[in-house]
Amino acid sequence: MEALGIDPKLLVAQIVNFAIFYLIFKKFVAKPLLSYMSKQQDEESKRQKLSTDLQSAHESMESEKSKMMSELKAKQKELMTEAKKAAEESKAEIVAQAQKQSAEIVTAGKDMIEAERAAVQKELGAYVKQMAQVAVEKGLATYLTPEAQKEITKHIILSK
Amino acid sequence: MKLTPTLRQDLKNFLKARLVDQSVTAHVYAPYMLSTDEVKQIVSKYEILKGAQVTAHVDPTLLAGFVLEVGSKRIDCSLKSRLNTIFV
Repeated sequence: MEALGIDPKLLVAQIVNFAIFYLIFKKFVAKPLLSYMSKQQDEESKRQKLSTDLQSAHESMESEKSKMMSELKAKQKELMTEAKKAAEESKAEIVAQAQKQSAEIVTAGKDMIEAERAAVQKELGAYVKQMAQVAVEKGLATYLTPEAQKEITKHIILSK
Repeated sequence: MKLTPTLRQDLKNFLKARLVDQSVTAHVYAPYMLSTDEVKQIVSKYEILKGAQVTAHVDPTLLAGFVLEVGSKRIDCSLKSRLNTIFV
């Protein structure tokens, strides 16, 4: 071995040295490192799980939100329909009432016009009669001769 | 106030006398002065004028015919009143 240039003492020393190094490395470096890595892996798996849970919760919430939104939309639509219907009914009622009132006003106006027309007609009739009487009286006063007056008076006396 | 029979009789007599007094004078209105014959004819036609003193008057507005007034009574036989009847 010496011919090969290998020192057996040094070789043994190196082997012992390596063994010591191996033991120390295994004891103080490899074990904590492996433990740390295992711990990190666990945490990573926990994070993964939490992330999955969160994703699932998020999806669930989104689904719930979508459902609620659709329900709200349906409710809103229903409310709008009801409001529209109520507004239509109210409008129809108001229009009917207005039509009734206008018809009453028109009827009252017609009645008033008719009454006024009748009154004017009556007044005019009386006036025309009066005028006719005056005209006839004036005409008779102008054209009735004394002889005719006597003749008429005689006729009246005899007819009694 | 109580009306005694004597008082009632007196009142009756007074009213009768007043009616007789009123009926004594009669007025006849015509558009021209009526002749005596016409007045007589009128008097003969109305019982109320018997024994009354009739006075004739002229009222040109009557047109024709006559109006008789005896006391509070008035008999209108004028042409004007006939026209009134027609036009009213």
